[in-house]
Amino acid sequence: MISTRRRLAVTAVTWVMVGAVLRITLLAPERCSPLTPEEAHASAVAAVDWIVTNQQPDGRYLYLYDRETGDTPAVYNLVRHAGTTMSVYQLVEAGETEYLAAADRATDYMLERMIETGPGAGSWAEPGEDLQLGAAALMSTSLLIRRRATNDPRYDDVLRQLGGFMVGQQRPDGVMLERWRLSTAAPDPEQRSRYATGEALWAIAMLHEAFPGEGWDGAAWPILDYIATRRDAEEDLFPRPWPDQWAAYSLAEMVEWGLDDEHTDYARSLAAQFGVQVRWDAQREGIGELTHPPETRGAGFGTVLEGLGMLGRVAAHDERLADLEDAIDERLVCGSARLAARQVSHDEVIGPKPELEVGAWFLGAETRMDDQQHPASGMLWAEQVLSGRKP
Amino acid sequence: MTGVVAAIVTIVVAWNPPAMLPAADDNAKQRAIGLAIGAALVALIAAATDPILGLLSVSAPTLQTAAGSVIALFGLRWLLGPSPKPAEPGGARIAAAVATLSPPTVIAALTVTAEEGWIAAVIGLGVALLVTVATAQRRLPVRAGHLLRRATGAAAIAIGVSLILAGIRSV
Repeated sequence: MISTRRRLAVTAVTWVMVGAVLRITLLAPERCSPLTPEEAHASAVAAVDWIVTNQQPDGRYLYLYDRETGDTPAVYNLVRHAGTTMSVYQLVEAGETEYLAAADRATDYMLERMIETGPGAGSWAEPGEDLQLGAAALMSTSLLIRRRATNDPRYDDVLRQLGGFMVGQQRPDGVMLERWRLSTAAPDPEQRSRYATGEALWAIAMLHEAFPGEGWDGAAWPILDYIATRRDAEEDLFPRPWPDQWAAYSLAEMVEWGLDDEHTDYARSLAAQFGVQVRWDAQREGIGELTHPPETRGAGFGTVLEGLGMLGRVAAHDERLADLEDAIDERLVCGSARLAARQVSHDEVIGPKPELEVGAWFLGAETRMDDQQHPASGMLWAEQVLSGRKP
Repeated sequence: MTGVVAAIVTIVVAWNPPAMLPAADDNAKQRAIGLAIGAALVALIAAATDPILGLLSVSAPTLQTAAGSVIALFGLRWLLGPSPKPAEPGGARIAAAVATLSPPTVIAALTVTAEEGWIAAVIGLGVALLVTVATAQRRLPVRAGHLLRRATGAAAIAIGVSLILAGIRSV
């Protein structure tokens, strides 16, 4: 037998224990500080300032910096070079035209390394190295954004060449092959990339927007079908859906073409994948830092913001996803505010060279160029939402 | 199951009517009044779901994940744990009301309100109340009551896991 008083006490103790455990774990508060459109824009500018200030005369960017040791290791990544250039052009398109010259220097670096791979097809790499699909794709998106920003068609032939290369890497079932081997002068049939497939889809979709009627959409649809329905399982990617912000860019580009239900289903699951990452990160305050590991690097969290920014556009244009639009925008703004708060300001410099720290995001002591690239892009999309200018 | 039906089932399972079977000398009328008072209090709390979410600074999907965890853990306890001790004679009304205000019932009502609206939560609480009273009136054998309680515990684990996944798969 249990007395009423004891039952009350047991219930009270149960509530206190359940409440306390929940509050420091799953129900930890989600902290999202306020962010204005001006602050989001300033954050993007500061990030691109870091990229451009530390650019080398040959057009390459500073790749890696350790602010405790002062080391700048002599390593580089061509795909990230192209991606970073794309982000700088995005800022140019957002009105910051003073960065055009720097982005063009980075473009020249790529153009100087172009080689032909077949009739009307070509891409770029360091001399003697195999060609990478991602490098071609992000060079294409860079030039296409430049074209939109400047109305300058000077690189249209290069774009068609890059498009020809990308389509040459495509299998009929939509699978994209990551490498083009110099030794065989042909695509490597074995190698795929969790990043390059989405990058190529976005580039090819943009090519269709720039050059309608040339048939680029015919190459884009099979890639989207593959990504939306089979890619994660075939390539054994985890988590699922693979949080692919490049696919989100692609969906935003293609939404006005008329997406199938399987594409919008994929967009919905992708939005959830990005959304839960922001919610989880927002719970990383106080003891939440222990219960909600790990802290993500700027590059990783920036891709989440990019993905949300693009999926917000998709939701705004496709009524099947309209119920998600407010939540997506809310997560984008929350995540952007949290990331902006982690960006190094002038007051937070600890090393002798402020130009290597201000505007950057560090994980531990290290920052990599894409730690600035992805957040800069994400901040631009947050700015558009905050200022009511979402396309 | 549609969203509203799933929401009602969630509340009924989180309430776990078989776990509230009466004590041997129970006053059925007093007990039913206590359950109704408890259900009304839970409904009142659920009506304040939005302010509660604001106060806690959590989003609806985060609440859903937490609710799923609580319901699944209580389901585990119902499935594997000892049977509840019967109440002492007297105090049936208070005991019933307090039993209703359990963490799984309250958090289920909150998350159902956040996802499907307050009316769905109220309907779920009403159904749970009716099922409990009806079960009590039938005076099930003790063994049958225990089996039902454990079966509901198993259902609570399944529903809890599905809520966790739904929370994770929400924006």
